[in-house]
Amino acid sequence: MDSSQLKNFLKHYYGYSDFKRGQSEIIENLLEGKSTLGILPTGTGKSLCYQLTGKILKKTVIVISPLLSLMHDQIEQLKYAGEKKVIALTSELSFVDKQMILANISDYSFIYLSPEMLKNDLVEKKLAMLSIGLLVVDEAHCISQWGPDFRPDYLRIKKFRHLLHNPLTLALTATATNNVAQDIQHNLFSNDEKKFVVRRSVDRPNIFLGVHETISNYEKNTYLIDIVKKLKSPGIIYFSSKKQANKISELLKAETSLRIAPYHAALSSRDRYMTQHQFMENQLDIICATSAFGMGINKKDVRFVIHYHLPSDLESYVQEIGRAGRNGERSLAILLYTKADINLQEQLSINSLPDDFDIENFQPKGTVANVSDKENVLQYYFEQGIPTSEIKQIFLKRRQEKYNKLMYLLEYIETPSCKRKFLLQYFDEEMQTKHGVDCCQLKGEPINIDYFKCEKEKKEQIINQVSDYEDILDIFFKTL
Amino acid sequence: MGEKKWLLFFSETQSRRPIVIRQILCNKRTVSNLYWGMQYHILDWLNVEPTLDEKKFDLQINKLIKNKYLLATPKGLVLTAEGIFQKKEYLDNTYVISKPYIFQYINEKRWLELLPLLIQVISELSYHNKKYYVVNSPLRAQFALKKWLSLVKDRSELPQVLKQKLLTFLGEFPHEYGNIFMALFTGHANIGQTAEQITVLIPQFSKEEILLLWRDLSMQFAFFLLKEDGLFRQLIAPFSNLSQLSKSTEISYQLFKENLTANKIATQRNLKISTIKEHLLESAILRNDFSYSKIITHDDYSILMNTFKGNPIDWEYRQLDNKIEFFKFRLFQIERSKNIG
Repeated sequence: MDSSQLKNFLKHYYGYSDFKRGQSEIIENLLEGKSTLGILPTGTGKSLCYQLTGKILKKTVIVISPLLSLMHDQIEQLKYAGEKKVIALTSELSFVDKQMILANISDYSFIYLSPEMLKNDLVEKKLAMLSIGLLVVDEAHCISQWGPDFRPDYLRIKKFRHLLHNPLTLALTATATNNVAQDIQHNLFSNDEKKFVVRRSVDRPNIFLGVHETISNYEKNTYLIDIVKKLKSPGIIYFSSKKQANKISELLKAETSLRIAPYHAALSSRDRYMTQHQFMENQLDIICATSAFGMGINKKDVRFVIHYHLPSDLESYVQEIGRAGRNGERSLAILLYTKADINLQEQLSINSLPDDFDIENFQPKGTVANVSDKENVLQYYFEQGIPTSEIKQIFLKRRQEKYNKLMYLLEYIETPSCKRKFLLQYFDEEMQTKHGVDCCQLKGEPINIDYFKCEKEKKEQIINQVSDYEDILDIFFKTL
Repeated sequence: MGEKKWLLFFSETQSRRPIVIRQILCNKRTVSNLYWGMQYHILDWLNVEPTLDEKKFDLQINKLIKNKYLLATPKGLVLTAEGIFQKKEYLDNTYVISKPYIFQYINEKRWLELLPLLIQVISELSYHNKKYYVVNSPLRAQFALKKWLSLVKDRSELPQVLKQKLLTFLGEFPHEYGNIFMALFTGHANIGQTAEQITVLIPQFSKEEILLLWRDLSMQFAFFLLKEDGLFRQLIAPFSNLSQLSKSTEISYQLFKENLTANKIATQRNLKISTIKEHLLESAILRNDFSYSKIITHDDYSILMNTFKGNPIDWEYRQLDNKIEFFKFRLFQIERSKNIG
């Protein structure tokens, strides 16, 4: 299929005239029957690669995805685009629903699977009976034991692929160092398969990179209030704790005239839907979120991403700031930082791994749902029959790796030279352009917020009273 | 404010055990809970708080005691003078679920999953719009709605019918309640608001009250649709149980109404006689058409009436010296309590 035919399909199904970087190359590979590892930065439309391929091939697409929230967002978008034959097989389903879906599994064009479903024999059998056009492994870095997000269940994918007679496969990730990329290929494909890699730079030149260090949270809050008043919205502020996301959301509401809402896993699914869609429709200026927000969200005009706390590593940081400036306009990423944040992040990320006490006292439970991530990881190693002493060594090493990643993040903060260059070097890339005024803030320089300031646009919709229900009913139900 | 709502379930004259109140709110239907729930006149509240956190509830009750709103007595807790005042204050100033008994008839979880989806889908249908982000809803709600829609011959009438039903239904309430209720829904080109956002716009309602109003009116709307004939009734029917009794109890009770004795029911259903007696006691408590004289004979009545006088709640079985089995004594106690109630 030549590129003009491919563009016709793109126009027909999605209404776009052009592909983003890397998309057409991946799709062309797949249409030629080449299994591919795609490393495309956040915001470059990874999911379109398999969605369009599936539509062209007219065969079932299976997507393995590790995060329920991400899966739901992608399904929502597929449905929005008019694809109704889409389903998610996850541990959230009741037994009856699962049976009903499996009985009619061949009716679906896109089947999303959470990795733990691969342990289910019936699911395996039913899927093996389908004619699979494409197997997609989303967030493929989870398969790498060198990666920070290793998911043991992902190691089952190779066997599952084999069971499906090694169908055409697309592994997708936003960030992967060379080590991780090799590990993904090793853990997914067999040695005799030819593998293709499409890699695009993680660099997003339109996002200015800045760090602001304060000596206390009070100072941090004062600075935050000051800059959000000036910055062009919409924007996202990331937190490592739900409590802080709520607290700062309240503080900013009180101190500014901006429309702000928190977003995190503790909200009801109804509230999450409302908040997310109000933000998409520009009814909110700022979201105070945990990392649960933004995956799969395709909002193009986010002007800034501020991190109130440290992210766990540079991989997460690059993913999260990648939600800014998807329309190519100049945008801003600021990492706020106090020395005390290091301890908080150390606790959150490094202590989330099982320690010697957890390992010595672990009781394998067999296949059970709703176990913690810690238990899930340990379960995997115990199932492999690895001696306890060796498991301890594995986690000691991983703790060290996580610690090193945090240190890299701190180096990024402290680097006296160009932050973008540092970031790209971390991902084994070379900087293609020279450092300039649009690039990043050098250590010791202030961030020139005025550069990103703009006249506040007239808000599209200011809600200052609850509408009359009779009016709402008139709007909701168009009747003759 | 949180803990003060429990004052509604206490009395100034009758000592009440908090554990019974908790079990009733959570729908833990043992005969003992139901019996005491009936004596406390709180059976309408069965299943209104199915996910009530036991520890949190106990802590809140302790706080009410510490604040001297409740006083401990050997038979339970009773409202103090300050407690009576606080209860009245609460009732005067706070939104309280007005028809709690509906929570026994309708599966709240399933209905609250379905209702926002129903409103959004029919709203978009009225604009012939297929391109929209569907509100978060579990698969079972989507299946239920699809199944129901497949039964509808002419979908073009649905928007008008649903709109009219909502207008009629909400017309029964203060206008502001209708405004709050509808603000929580998402429809065509109109994203709903969170309770948090509404409370900023209408500060006299707390977030907790808005969520209570949402549950209360949603459940009353289900009941409203259920009582009417027509399509919407078919949508609610799978989530409703108008008999109030659990499935197994209902079967035993039907056989009892067909004049089978407890022994015969037990044999026919291959269940223990004690289980059937529990079913019958549950039926006597929850239903008003229970025929006591089928179990309590004329002679039993004479003995019981000669032995017991006054308020049935104070009667004690040992006063009967084993002349009559406990099952009959409890039935008689239920019958007389209901007569008084």
